[in-house]
Amino acid sequence: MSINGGVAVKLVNLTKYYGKFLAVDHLNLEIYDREIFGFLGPNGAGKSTTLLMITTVLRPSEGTAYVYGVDIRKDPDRVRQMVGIAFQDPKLYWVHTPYEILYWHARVCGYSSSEARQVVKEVLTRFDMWEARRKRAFELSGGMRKRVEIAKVFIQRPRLAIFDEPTAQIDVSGKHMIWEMIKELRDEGSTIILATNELYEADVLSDRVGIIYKGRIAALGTPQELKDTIPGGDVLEIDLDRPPSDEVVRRIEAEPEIVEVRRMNQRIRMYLNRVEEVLPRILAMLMESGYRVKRVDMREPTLDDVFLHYTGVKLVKEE
Amino acid sequence: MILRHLLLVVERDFRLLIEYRLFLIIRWLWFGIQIAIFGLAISQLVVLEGYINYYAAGIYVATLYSAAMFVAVDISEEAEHGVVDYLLSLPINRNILIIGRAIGGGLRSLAATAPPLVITLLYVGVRNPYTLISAVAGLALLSFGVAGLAITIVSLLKSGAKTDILLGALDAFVIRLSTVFYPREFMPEAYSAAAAVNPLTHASEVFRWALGLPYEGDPIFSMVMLLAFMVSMTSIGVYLYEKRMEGGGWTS
Ligand SMILES: Nc1ncnc2c1ncn2[C@@H]1O[C@H](COP(=O)(O)OP(=O)(O)OP(=O)(O)O)[C@@H](O)[C@H]1O
Ligand SMILES: [Mg+2]
Repeated sequence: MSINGGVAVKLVNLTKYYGKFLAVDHLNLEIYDREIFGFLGPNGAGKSTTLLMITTVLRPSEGTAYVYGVDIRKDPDRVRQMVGIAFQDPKLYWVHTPYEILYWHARVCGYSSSEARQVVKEVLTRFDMWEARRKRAFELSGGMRKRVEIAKVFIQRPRLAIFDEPTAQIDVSGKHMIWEMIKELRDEGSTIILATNELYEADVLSDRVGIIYKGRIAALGTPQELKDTIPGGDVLEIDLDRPPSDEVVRRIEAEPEIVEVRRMNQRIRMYLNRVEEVLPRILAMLMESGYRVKRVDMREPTLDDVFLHYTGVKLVKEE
Repeated sequence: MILRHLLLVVERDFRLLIEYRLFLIIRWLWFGIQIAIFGLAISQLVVLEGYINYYAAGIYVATLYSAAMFVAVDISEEAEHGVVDYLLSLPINRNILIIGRAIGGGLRSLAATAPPLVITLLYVGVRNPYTLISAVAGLALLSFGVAGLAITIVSLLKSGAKTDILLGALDAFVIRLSTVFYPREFMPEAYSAAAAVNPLTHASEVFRWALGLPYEGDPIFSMVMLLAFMVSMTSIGVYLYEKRMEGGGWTS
């Protein structure tokens, strides 16, 4: 399927200065064909700037990117044949209506006029925007404007679909609908880049996540890989029928995945990696030693823990 | 695909016409007022027979020029809504995008000034169908060229306020340094030299020739000048756009 060994997008030292300010700092990254790539980072990390360069809307200051092997600097026209983007801020001219905007967009993307009418109706209906199709852009609510913006990509169905914070401002049921539609698009063969600062969105939707901070990639991998890379990121608590002996604690500490063990009366709290592998062994050992397990509690690290680990700051402010 | 994209871009810009109903009516009234008051008043002063007709033809050309320049205002307003970024992200060749916008803006300006044009034609009277077609072609070349110039200016300035100021300044110069209001023989030498190369001069003279009014120079030469103006404006627009244009960075 892929013409380029499974790589859809390749960033090579991709850099953007705004004046003297370095917004995107020599990014090197490969995004694979037909994956949902989550681009996770806080405000001002450089997500949008990077995406705008990939779509050839912004010119890189240094470096370049290849979209299915085509250099964005050398052949931007061919790149744009393959790329569609839903911008972070909806780009709608105030006098136009959702129907006009999407119909024109469909025509530009190659639909005949009758096909365009049909696809626009389908997509507007799916986005719950058919009723509002004749309102002007300035009469739409923020979430409605965002829906129109995203609908463009679902009409275009490009080989590389880029969504810049697609569910910001969208209500909960809308969010789920959009996530479903993004997955469908991937399953149909598109590669997806999804910029977000929502942990949950990045976690449930992405095949791989790139954490971006201050214009650099801080970490890269599947959500699970990223969580597993944090030393002692998992927390396991076991309540026993009596306080554990020193011998038991020593044996737990001997497990290679264990980072730290704390004894609290009848409770043992362990900071460890890959809890799902370690837990059966520890339970077996405890039962062998004659303990009765009364309660097991474990917590996986979140992407926020990953973020904290790699950047030293938290993405989500503690309550 | 190229032609299809060109037509879509042209159509998109042309359709904006409908949004300007009120604005258009004001513009048409202004045209009428200019002729009624200034035209008549100045006729008393200028020693040129039938000056009111001469003036009407000129003021139409000036109206067309302002309408085509107004394309810049649209584009900068669109840009403030981020629409320029959207257009730049589309699978449309950038040259086609600019040429399409110049043609669309040009056609829209012609359509927007159609009533004053028709009134002028009816009131002054056109010589024959051949001159009519030539006049409309000449005016269209001016309109496309000015729209191309407007797009270039706004893309380079990337600011609504700066665009407004520059358009105001240009308006004052470009119209005065042309034969819109009076023939070159009445101008100081420096003015006259500038007027000789001003596309507004050539459009005015072609138009006057078609209307059977006193005109200067050779209508065919003027047509060539207008064609050269349009081609060079769109080429410069395309070239600068490629060099300088990118999304973002627009200020009000
Ligand atoms: N047009 C611009 N001119 C100057 N600086 C800019 C411009 N656009 C962005 N920046 C700066 O570049 C940095 C990266 O911005 P960018 O919009 O790429 O961040 P982001 O990761 O998309 O953030 P957010 O989550 O808020 O959308 C920020 O510090 C921002 O202030
Ligand atoms: Mg952003």
